[in-house]
Amino acid sequence: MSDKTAPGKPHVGSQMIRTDGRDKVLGLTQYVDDEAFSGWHGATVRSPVARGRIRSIRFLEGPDWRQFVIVDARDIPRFAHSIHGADASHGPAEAGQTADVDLNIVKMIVDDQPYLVRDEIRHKHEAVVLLAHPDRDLVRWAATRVHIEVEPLPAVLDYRQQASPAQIQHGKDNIFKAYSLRKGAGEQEDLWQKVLADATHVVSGVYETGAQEQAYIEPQGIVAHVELAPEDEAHGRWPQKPFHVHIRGSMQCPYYVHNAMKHLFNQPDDRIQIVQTATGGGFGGKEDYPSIIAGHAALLSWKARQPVKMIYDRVEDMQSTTKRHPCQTRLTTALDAQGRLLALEAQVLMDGGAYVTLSPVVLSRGTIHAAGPYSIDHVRIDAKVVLSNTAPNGAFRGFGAPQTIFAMERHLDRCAKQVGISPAEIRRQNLIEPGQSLATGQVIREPVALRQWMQQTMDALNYEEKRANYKAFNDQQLRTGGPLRRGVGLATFMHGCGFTGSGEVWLDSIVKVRVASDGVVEVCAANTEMGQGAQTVFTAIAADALGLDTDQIRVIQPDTDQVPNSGPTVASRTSMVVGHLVAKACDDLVRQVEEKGLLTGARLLPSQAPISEQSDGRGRRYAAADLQAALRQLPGLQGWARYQPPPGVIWDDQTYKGVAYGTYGWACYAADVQVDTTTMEVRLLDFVAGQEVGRVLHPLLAAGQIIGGVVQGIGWALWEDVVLDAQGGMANANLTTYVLPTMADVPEIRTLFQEQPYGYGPFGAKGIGELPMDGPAPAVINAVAMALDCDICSIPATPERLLELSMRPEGTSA
Amino acid sequence: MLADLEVVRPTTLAQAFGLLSLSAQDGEPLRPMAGCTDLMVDAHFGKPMPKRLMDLSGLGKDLKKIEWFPGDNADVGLRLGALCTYAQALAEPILHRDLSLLAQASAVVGATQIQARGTFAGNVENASPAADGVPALMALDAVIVLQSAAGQRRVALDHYYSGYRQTVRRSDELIVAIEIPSQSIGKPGQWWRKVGTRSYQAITKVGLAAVLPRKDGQLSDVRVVAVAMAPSILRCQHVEQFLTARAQAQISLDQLRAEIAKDLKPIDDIRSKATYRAEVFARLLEQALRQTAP
Ligand SMILES: Cc1cc2nc3c(=O)[nH]c(=O)nc-3n(C[C@H](O)[C@H](O)[C@H](O)COP(=O)(O)OP(=O)(O)OC[C@H]3O[C@@H](n4cnc5c(N)ncnc54)[C@H](O)[C@@H]3O)c2cc1C
Repeated sequence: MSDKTAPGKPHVGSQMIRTDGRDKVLGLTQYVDDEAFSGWHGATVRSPVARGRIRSIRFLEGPDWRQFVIVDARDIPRFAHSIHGADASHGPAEAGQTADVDLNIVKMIVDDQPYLVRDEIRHKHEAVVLLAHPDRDLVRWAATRVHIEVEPLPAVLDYRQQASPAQIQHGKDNIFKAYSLRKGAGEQEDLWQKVLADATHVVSGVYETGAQEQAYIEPQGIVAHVELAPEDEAHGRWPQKPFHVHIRGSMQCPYYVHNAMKHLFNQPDDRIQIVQTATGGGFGGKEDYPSIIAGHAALLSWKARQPVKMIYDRVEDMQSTTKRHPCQTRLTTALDAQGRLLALEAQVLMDGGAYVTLSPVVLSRGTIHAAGPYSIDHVRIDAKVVLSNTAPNGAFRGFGAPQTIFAMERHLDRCAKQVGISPAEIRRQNLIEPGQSLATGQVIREPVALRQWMQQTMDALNYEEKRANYKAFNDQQLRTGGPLRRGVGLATFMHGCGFTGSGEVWLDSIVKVRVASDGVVEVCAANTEMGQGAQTVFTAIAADALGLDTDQIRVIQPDTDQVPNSGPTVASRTSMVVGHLVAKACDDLVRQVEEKGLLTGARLLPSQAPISEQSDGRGRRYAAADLQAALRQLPGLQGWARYQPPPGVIWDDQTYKGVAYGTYGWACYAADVQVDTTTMEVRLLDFVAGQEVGRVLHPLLAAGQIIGGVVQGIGWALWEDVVLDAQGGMANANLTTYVLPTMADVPEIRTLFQEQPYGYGPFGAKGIGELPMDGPAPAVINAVAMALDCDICSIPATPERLLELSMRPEGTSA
Repeated sequence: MLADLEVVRPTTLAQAFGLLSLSAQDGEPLRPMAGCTDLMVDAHFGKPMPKRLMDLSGLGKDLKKIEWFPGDNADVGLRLGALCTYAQALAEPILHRDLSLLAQASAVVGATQIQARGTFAGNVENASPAADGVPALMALDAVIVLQSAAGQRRVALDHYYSGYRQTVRRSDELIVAIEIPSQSIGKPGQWWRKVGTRSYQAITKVGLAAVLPRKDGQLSDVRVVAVAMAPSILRCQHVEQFLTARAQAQISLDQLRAEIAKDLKPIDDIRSKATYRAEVFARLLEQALRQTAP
């Protein structure tokens, strides 16, 4: 692989070297805790119980408390006259409120989560008191010397159980959000009953998936510096004059933090600066949580009159930050004699944890993906996410979809068994074709060829032959008392790219490119590099949109003083949505150069196909040297692009009908496993991940995304188990007892790509980041179920659980 | 906090014993440190740390050797110096030929980095009920050689533990070597299996180290050592007695389960379940018996 593609050759689709690769490999990259820092260190005192009222906070002997800055909820004004309108970042604004607001609120979807507990604790490890001190070790130790006395209140520790009146903490029923989706006879009870009555088979099942830790390598970390007006420096009260809040740290979404700090400090946009530092992984875990730690560090900085750094260690990070939502899905399907799905009913129940955070959006994605990539005429889905007194569950790669997809894909294998056909055959019978509609009623217009793609994955794994051989192998092991069993499993699925429905329109993303003083074109977007390669992909897109070499492009580090709001780095949207805006902003830049007459004499190149339906890539018309010369004369020139939805993306949030996503990634994954029945340990022998993701922008990065996602999915299926203690706190909050797979636990993950260019992504690209998280768990568990010839309906399928299941009397399931 | 620690680094054994006995008399004994792969983990997770430590790295010339020693019957046994690491032992061909039990155990302790730093002596003294080096050594009748300014004594490893994470070592003593007697070298019927939470970097959930030789078709002189099944690594006396003088055909899984229950009361913890441990241990033993059968 060479460092540069040959001059004039496109970068998109090449194995271009990562722009951030060299520094990372050489250990030169500075993460937030590596950066030069002079200031104080912060620590957090957390609640000891699941739920209760704070009786007293005692500062025990040991630390010299006079040396510490101490912040609790009383430091934050309870009511202030907000200078901001209502927030619409996740949906249409509720009735505009301009009255006094509580600043002690983490601004997200619903105003229910405080930065610091005022009186009622909602989960163990919730932040109650903040400490700052010049010495990092001392402040951490001091945090263990604060005693919080609590009067316990009845807590919800199992989200699946109906809450008693004393356990209600949100609304009338602890339900954070509920959706229902109906299609065909799903709308009408009598018709529905008739479909069920006429079916040859009706199959029901209950499926459960557990919480999961994002396990980014770099834990959460923030440096905050609050600069007060001189009048406010002198006294300790809440600032009266406008002031500046500067935040640097590890995060996915600088503008989410920006929005949160605006609210917490009640300051206008230009008083808040958020800078993303090199980020060592996110996986959703740095979508919403950085707003909290940023708020904490900034509160300490305000009171200490010092920059304050807060870095969580692994234990604190795992105890107090968000996890994947545990989920229980009840499915009932009606099938005809050939195994065609006539109707599907799903009841989805997710565990939101103690506060709403992103639960409504996670549930939404889970709801929309619950019926899978199948053509089913009659559908009924009811989904809700409820409160429990654990740390809030939040964003994690896949965002609700892996949970319901696991249920559906396991269920299909069970249906196949009942119908008497193979897992491949039942999928062939039902996979959607162009012109047919998903559960939402969205008619598929893309030229999908799912049966053919499924077959390619199966062929790559040698699925059919293995399935036959393994049946014989298992019989022979059984006869001879051998301990080994083998199985193969499939999962077919899709993942919607970008924000759901009109979400992208609400986000209203903007990207800017500008000509720097050295003539280099700088890409200014709020989307973050966190290991996935976003910076490299933006560089390639900008270079190819302009027809320049990559050394003429610089992607600048997200800093809200420098970059417009191009939305969060989530939802598989960065390459597809924001990358597209990068190309369009480049078009705009070139248009302006043309208007200034600086390209009139430029040599013209043969014309090329447009970059997308919305981007002509006009920079590529001109000889690179001539465009470059023109740009050099225009330092400071800016090109802009604003999101425009593809035509026909119309979604109804009330009925859950319409076009949920402009496009989808489509996939079929296949797993090959061996189980040692002596110990019930599962070993993966092979894994093939086949997907259609539009144009692959960077083959190696794309494969990296898929392989990483697959391993994360396998971990969720087999090993990763969030164990809660009696107070709903994470009991195994470390990487010794929370078991992530290592290289030695997974085989080589083989990837296959189908490429059908998407008209509204740059060069035809779709989103890719989350798709690979959806399929591995059902593929692996379907394989294990074949190997053990038993019904496994919940994950993680640890050896302990498999043993228990295998020793249960016939006919019961888990 | 690490900054507050006092660390001494003797360069001769005599110095080391002197320092140890002085510190023991002061009532604040020096804690030996070898590879630190246990000590640092304890420190990281905030376990109370000894204030005073003795770094053994200066004693390599005396303690890092692997050598033959004159054993009982004038035969030759193997002596692992206290600073001998897993990696060092794995480089010895004899380990793979005649002490397969120990070779297998050493090869899956942590992963490469831990095998390069961790020592058998540290594993023994750390006294974890889930240790991997200890069961292999115990099944091979290893003897711990303790030395102090007052002299030397030898303690059989299966008498080394006096309770949960407690050993018979006095605070003025150092483990100087671990001896494997000649009778164990090349002893037939060595069998070992670790069931960990994953392939590498895993703590044992349940494990079996066994030596199951046959004499005239019957089991004799057997060793059955259980890992993560009791407060310390344990030889299973009832099981050993039951197996002795029995032929393979006379042993059923149900009988093994019953005998095991007399020796071991495993518990539920963060890593596994009592029921899993008990059942899998019985299955492992059954498998060991089958696989070591001549
Ligand atoms: C990532 C990781 C993975 C691990 N995996 C495994 C595993 O798979 N299996 C396993 O069994 N262990 C494992 N361990 C634990 C550890 O590596 C072993 O127990 C190792 O053998 C300890 O040796 P050490 O030299 O590092 O001991 P140290 O940490 O230096 O010491 C451990 C204890 O022994 C004492 N000590 C050391 N030497 C002497 C001596 N000569 N005389 C008296 N006392 C002494 C110390 O005072 C201390 O109490 C793992 C540890 C880590 C960090």
